[in-house]
Amino acid sequence: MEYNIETLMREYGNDVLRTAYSYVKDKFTAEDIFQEVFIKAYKSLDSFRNESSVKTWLIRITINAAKDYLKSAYNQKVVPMMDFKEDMLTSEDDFEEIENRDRDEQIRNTVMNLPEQYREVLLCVYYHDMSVAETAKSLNIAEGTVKSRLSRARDLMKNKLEGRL
Amino acid sequence: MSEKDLLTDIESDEAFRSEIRDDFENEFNLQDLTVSEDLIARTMAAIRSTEKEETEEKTAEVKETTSENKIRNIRIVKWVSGIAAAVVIGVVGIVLFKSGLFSTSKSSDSATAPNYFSTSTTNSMGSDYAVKEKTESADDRYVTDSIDGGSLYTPPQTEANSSNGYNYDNQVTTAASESYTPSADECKNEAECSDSAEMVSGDQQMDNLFFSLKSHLSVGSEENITVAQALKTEIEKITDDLGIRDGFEEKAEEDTEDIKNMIRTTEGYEIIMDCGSYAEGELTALLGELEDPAELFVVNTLLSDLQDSQ
Repeated sequence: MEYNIETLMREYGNDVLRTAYSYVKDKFTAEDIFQEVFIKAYKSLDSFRNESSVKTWLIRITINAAKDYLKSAYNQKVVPMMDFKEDMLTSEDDFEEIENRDRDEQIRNTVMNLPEQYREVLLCVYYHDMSVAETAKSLNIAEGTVKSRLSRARDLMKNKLEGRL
Repeated sequence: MSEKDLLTDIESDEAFRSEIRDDFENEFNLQDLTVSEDLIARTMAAIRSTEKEETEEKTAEVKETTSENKIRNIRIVKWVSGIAAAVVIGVVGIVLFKSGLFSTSKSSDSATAPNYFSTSTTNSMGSDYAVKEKTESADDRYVTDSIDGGSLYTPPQTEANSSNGYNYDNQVTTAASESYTPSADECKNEAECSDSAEMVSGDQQMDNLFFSLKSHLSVGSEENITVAQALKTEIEKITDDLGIRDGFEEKAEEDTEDIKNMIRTTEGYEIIMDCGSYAEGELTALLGELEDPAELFVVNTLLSDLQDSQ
């Protein structure tokens, strides 16, 4: 089965972009990773043997690219946007605005604030509807590890979402 | 709770699943994380750019590889031609060396001329015919010196030589270039020894005769046949041909001269007499070795006639 890279971009582009964002938490960086993922996919299309679904394959490439980005020395030197903004605060009003926004985000982004190892299994299983086996393959971990992390993530989430459930 | 039950519990917890999904969706929508046409176009442009770069890199690699191959081929050609030149030089050197171009001998032929006296060092009677270069021993009658002697021997490759089973090539040694020079004792006068032209002729004749004697041997193809053995065999042949072995003593008492005359008619007699002093020493030695009276008579007749001829 032959794949057209542009078709793949349109079909699975959102999954790739959002997965990248769930790691780097920056839209522009996620878009850079998006490009990197599809360039790699284009180069490797001939070697793709349909052993897994195309989506799982692309998600796996995305996770690896995002983790590589996070590990890169370049990223260690980047000043987070929020830190920069806080440095630029000049008035009490600005400070209150930021605090309120953070509180809203805290409530809204319970999942996004989970530790990475739990967040990634939740993303794969609950957001991308991937099976435990596919998740294990994408994250390069054992299926048992996926299950235990899912259980732990659920406990953490339930504690955080107690008031909302 | 077992692992399976736990998974079933998690998967069946639809409210939890929905909550997680909504959380992700909300976050992604808030960040406007949707693939735009612009992003697709930029990505496609990046892919094409990468593709172009790769093509250029491949072209450059091909060129580089081609260039490297050319350099390697040139090196291989140089190596091969160098080796070939070395081989040719070696072969030419060997050929020239064998042809005697590098020989230190004054005579250009001396390096290739075989010496038929060099391999039989000691015969059964203890006579030493081995050629010894520049040996000063008085017992060595055939001491040679290629520089001083100057005479060379080239064996006549006659049919008889090749058919009698003797391998003369095996007798060629490093001393092959040596030629026969009579010792001081053999020189009857100073003029004889100093006259090199005459000596060359005499030596060659002597060698040819000796070679002829050896070529008449009928003892087979032994390689290291000695002069003494050759003579001994020849004497046995003469005795047998004449049929004087049985009751010889009685015959000798009556017909001594007749038997001597018969001996003088044989081919072997003629050959041995031609060898002259060359065979004399060996015949004398054979007297102490032979037991058959008929053979002893033949030897005595030969010796007597040889001495008379000198």
